[in-house]
Amino acid sequence: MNENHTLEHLMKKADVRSYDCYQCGKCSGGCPMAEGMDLGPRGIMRSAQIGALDSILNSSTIWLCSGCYACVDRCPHDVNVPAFIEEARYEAMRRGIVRRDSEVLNRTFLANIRAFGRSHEMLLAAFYNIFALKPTQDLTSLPHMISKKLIPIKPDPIRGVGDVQAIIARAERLDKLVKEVRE
Amino acid sequence: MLRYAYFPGCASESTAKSTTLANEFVFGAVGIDLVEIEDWCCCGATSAHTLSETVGLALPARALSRAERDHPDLDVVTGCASCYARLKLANYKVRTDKDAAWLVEKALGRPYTAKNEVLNFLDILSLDEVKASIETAILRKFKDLKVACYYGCLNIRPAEVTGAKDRENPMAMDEIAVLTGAVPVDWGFKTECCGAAHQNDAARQTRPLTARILENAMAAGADVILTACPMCQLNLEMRQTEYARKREEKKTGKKVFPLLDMVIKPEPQETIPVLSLTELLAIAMGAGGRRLSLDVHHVPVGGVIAQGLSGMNEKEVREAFI
Amino acid sequence: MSKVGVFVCHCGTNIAAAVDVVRACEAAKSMPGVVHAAEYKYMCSEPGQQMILDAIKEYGLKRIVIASCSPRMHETTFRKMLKKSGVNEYLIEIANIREQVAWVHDDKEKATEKAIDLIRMAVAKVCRDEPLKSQMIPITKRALVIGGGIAGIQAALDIADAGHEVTLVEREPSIGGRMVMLDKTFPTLDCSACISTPKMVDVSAHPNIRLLAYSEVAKVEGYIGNFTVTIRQKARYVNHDICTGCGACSEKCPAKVPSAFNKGLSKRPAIYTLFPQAVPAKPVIDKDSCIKLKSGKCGVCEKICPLGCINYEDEDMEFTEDFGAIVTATGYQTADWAQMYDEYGAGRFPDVIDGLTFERLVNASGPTEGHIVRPSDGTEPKTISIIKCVGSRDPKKGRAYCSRACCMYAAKHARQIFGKIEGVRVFIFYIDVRTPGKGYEEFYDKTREDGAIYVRGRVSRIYKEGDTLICQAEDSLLGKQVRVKSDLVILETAMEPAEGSASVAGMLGAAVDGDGWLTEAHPKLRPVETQVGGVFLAGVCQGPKDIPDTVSQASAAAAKVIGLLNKNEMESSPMIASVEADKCSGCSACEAICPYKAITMGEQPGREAGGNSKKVMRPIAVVNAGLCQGCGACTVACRTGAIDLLGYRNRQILEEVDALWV
Repeated sequence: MNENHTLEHLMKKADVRSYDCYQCGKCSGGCPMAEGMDLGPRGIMRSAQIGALDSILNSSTIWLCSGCYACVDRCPHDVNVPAFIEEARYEAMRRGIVRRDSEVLNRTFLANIRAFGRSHEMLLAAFYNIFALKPTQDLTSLPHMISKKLIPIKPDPIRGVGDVQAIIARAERLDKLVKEVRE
Repeated sequence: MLRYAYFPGCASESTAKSTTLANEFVFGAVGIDLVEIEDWCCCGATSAHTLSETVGLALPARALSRAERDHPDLDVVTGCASCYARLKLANYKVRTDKDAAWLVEKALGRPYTAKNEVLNFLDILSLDEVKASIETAILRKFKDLKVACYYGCLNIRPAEVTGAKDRENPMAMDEIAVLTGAVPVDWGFKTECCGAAHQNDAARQTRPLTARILENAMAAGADVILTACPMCQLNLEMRQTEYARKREEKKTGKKVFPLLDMVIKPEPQETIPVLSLTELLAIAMGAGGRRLSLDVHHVPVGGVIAQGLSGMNEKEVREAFI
Repeated sequence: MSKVGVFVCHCGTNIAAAVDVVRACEAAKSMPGVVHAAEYKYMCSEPGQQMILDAIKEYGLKRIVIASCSPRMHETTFRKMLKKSGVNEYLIEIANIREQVAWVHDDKEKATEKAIDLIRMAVAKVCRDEPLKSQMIPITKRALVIGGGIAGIQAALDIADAGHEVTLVEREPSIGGRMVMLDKTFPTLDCSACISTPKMVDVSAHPNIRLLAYSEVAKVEGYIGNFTVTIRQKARYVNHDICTGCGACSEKCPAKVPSAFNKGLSKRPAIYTLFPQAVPAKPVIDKDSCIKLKSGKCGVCEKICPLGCINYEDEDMEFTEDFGAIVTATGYQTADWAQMYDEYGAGRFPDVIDGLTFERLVNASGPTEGHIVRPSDGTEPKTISIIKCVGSRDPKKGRAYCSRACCMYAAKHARQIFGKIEGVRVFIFYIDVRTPGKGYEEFYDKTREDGAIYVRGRVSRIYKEGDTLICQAEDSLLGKQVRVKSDLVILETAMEPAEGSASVAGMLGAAVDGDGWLTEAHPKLRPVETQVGGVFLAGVCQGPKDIPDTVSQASAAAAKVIGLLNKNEMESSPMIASVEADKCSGCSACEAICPYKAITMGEQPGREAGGNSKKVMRPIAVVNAGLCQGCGACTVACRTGAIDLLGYRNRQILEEVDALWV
């Protein structure tokens, strides 16, 4: 599949048509994360219009989108940018393009669920800070959290933790299957 | 009696301690039976769906399918906006997208038909009959307590999934808050994303938008921010000292070092307490501060509550806050 | 045999590129009845027509088939040509091989086959065509103009100046429409009232114009040249025959309601004139806010009026008038943005106003005497943001179309602000700047020179930070988010068809498009006519436009009306329903189905049923040639097959269909 086909496929999957966008900027204007993004939602659609899949997949925007859907809600042409960003993110991961901090967080998070069936913020933050090399991030809140017993130091897994692991494994296999079918 | 299958969400066991206590108190007082879904697991928000579409749908579907199996007549309710968004989306996708439904069923290894609804606390508390029960259950009212109702983005959007009509200036929470005598303020960030999802992996980009929400609530004259989600709750109150110090730094030009602050423990002027809606209701319904563990809040809430309940005698005030 | 001639047009390359015209022509030669076939580059041109006329003479052609564009385009052209040749002008058929073939198909081979099929069908039908003769119908030499805005005023004055009588109907208590609400007009910045009020006075003083303000059209019957219109004069509760417009009543009236004319920025009494320069300059009582009419108490105006004009018993009055032509000039309203845009505050912020409200604010005769102040606290704004395309270019929340005037309107507002507030900052948020008009781009240049800061980006939301409004948008040229603190925000809202214009269109039988604008007969060649004969369009009721375009179109509509009214009688189409008396059972099914009320039940002598051969009068359908539009609905309803449509008889249609199976 060549780049243009891939781009078209991603847009089709997200039910987005790049020609619908007339670049008014209402999306980027209201995006809460826009100031930290490189392309922003409007830039994502602009890149899609000129076929620059590469710049979409390598952007920070696809990792920083918080999925609040304010952009599509206000879009005059109902362009579902977050849906397209999600598809672009999956494609980036298929190609091994990742944003380090996001990757560390997401992998730590999923490992957490695999281990306990539930998420434990303390462990998540601790492991994230270690692997992302940010030992002091949010350290100031730690004394309060511990003194008020807001975070259980020793988490217990749920009974169905094996079931959860099996579901995640099957879902990941299905993802691969879907990708193969498409190709 | 209203009954719902209840999805508590991971935060309920840890950081949202006081909110969980308040939830139990309020739903008990208004006579709503929340039946916890047996052995529920994390919905995956927000990392699971970032990594994989199918994992992102299968995790919430696991809890939903268990609810459907054990309580075929009950709708599912949750008190967390992130969980709500994932559960609601899984429910919506299974209903509307055949491919997604097939993937979910294959991943789960058991059926999920999505015949029941997924609701959030606001949906339930807004029901007329529930509002009437709330009014009866309220024992003491706040006076001149100005509240900024923060709905969070995910309780509201995307519209086609949540069905929310007013996404810019919703009023459901404001209308519940007034029952306690609180006065909702008109402010601009009711549904603006607080950035909770990226506080770990994109702290630099996210913190300004959290700070902006707090500043707008303060500018609108609010005494307290009310939340409808433990994620928003934690995110809005957790780093307030840091934000306030940043503002001071901007004003005075004196450099601030957060780690040093841990030792010198400055008292910043501009913070705003954050309470969950159910905490506010529970207090109005007579729950004491100790009972609700209100001391767990990062920004102390006692002062605001005492001020709001200024009709009470000294003993009651002491009971009300710590 | 019928002696048919077939002429295939290339339409330049419009047809020839997609259809093998030579092959189609050859195929036509062997069709039954065809004695001659030819093709040519432009059949409608002078040499093309001459070629047909020559062929008629040379081959003695009796019937003609032309394979070309849609009959809507040139059927009349070819009929006129035939008239010259002596062949009856209804013995012609057009095979539409442009719109129905060349423009919609890619495969030349198959397109050619389809073109040949269409020609074969046309040949089959033309062989069955009968000579028809049109009738002459008289014309009432009076015109009705609906709507007293600048379009209606201009049309009425032009028609009246040409010597024809005009009745101008306006539903508000005064004519003037939207234009008199404006302060200044672009691109000249001349005072709107100064150029429109003299025209209003001209209307009231013109001997050929009858002005009916505070009136509405209630019913329209008839057809081109012969309309009968019922007009409802709303109860005014003031005798305008003796009222001098002294204004004493308005001054003393104790009831106060928000003035719609001033967009709610001020209040008006219940007995009021729309504005000081109103025409007619006489008050009416708004029955919904009058204390006397609502509760029976008060009566102050009656006591104060020196001439005894007040009549609380007044009622709506209906009367009919005959007209030969009707001009619709029902205009527009601005979109109700508060219902559409929650992200702009949905009307919660008093200092977010629409452009028309700003016009009243900046207008010297407005409620603030032209001082630009914030509606919330009366202070002078130091930073003003203007947002364009609110409700326009927004298929999700508003209208898909561009409202055309707002870019200039926004620039004009900026210029007006600079003229009135020293040191003010003006931000204009835009998606595109569209200035196609004489002197318009130069006006835009001057606006930037004056200091307006254009920001390319549609504002995402407006929120309040303390007392300040913040417009949050992306400066899409920099790719940076901007938050502009503004004391006042002006929304340039979309134009929408005026409320009630659809019902006016319905009464007239004129079509409206998906957005509610009245549809012109042809977007390029018949822009001021509707598909309904005798009904013309002026101004914004046909689509958004600015004042220069509105006035031009009004004069164009007036020219069409004058052309019609200058004739004493006109030809009617002979392609109408015709009843075969012997077959008609008098069931009146056709009468019920006819949308034009063209069929009535008459009587004819006959014999009573049951075989006793007693002579009686029995009912029979009668068609009014003037009213019948030839739609054919009756022919389907007729159970005995007694009604046929001349030119489209069932036999002719069947012949056409049969030709497909050759």
